[in-house]
Amino acid sequence: MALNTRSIGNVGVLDLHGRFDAHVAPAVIEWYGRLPAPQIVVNLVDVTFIDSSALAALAGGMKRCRQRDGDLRLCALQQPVRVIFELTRMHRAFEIFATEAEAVASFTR
Amino acid sequence: MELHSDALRLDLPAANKYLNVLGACLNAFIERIEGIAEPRVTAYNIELAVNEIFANIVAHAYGDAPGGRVDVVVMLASDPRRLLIAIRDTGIAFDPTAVAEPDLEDVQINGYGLFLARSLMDDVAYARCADGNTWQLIKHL
Repeated sequence: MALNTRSIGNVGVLDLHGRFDAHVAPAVIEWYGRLPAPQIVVNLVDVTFIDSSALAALAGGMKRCRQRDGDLRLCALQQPVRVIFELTRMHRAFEIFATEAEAVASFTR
Repeated sequence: MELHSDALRLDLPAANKYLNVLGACLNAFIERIEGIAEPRVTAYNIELAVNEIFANIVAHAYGDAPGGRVDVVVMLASDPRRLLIAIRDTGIAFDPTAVAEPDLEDVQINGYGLFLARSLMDDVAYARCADGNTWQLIKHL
């Protein structure tokens, strides 16, 4: 999976596609290390599968950003991938938005 | 597990880069089973459970030793109709009792894999054999 990253203002946006699994998770964790600012939106609109290693990568990024007074927020989850968030109750830990625009705008509230 | 003639057998390298191959094969196998309620959700959940066991084997069974393999057998059994998935490796023993249940009231980074597999399947059993480890996963359909 190629990591497509963009910046919208001071928010880093990570677009993921297809499977987000234990094979892909290390590249996402490595990307966190290059971030200039701790405001991240991970756009999951094209993600069809998420496993616990990917969830760990997201949760680790969220903790890392919050330690720097930022956050990692999620948007556009497809229905099937929600199961892992619901079973682990991590949907209560992340701020999750329906659209990328809402997620990015949430950093200026 | 006695191997049915229509069972699917995969012999995969113990590496996470093959998780997509495993997932695609499982989905294709389940797609041909008729009469499953919510087939997409069922296939997704089974794929996630098997993915977690496979990734756990990759992470722990072989250490840094190269060349490890994972044998996966998938078959449909009847009376009652259920999907049986056996996952075998020849690595070091796994101790399921050493894996703590995740604290769902806290934000935990790791430790969800086995919990997820058990939550998504009807049964998840582990056995240490003479030459390795065997996991058997069952989903009633």
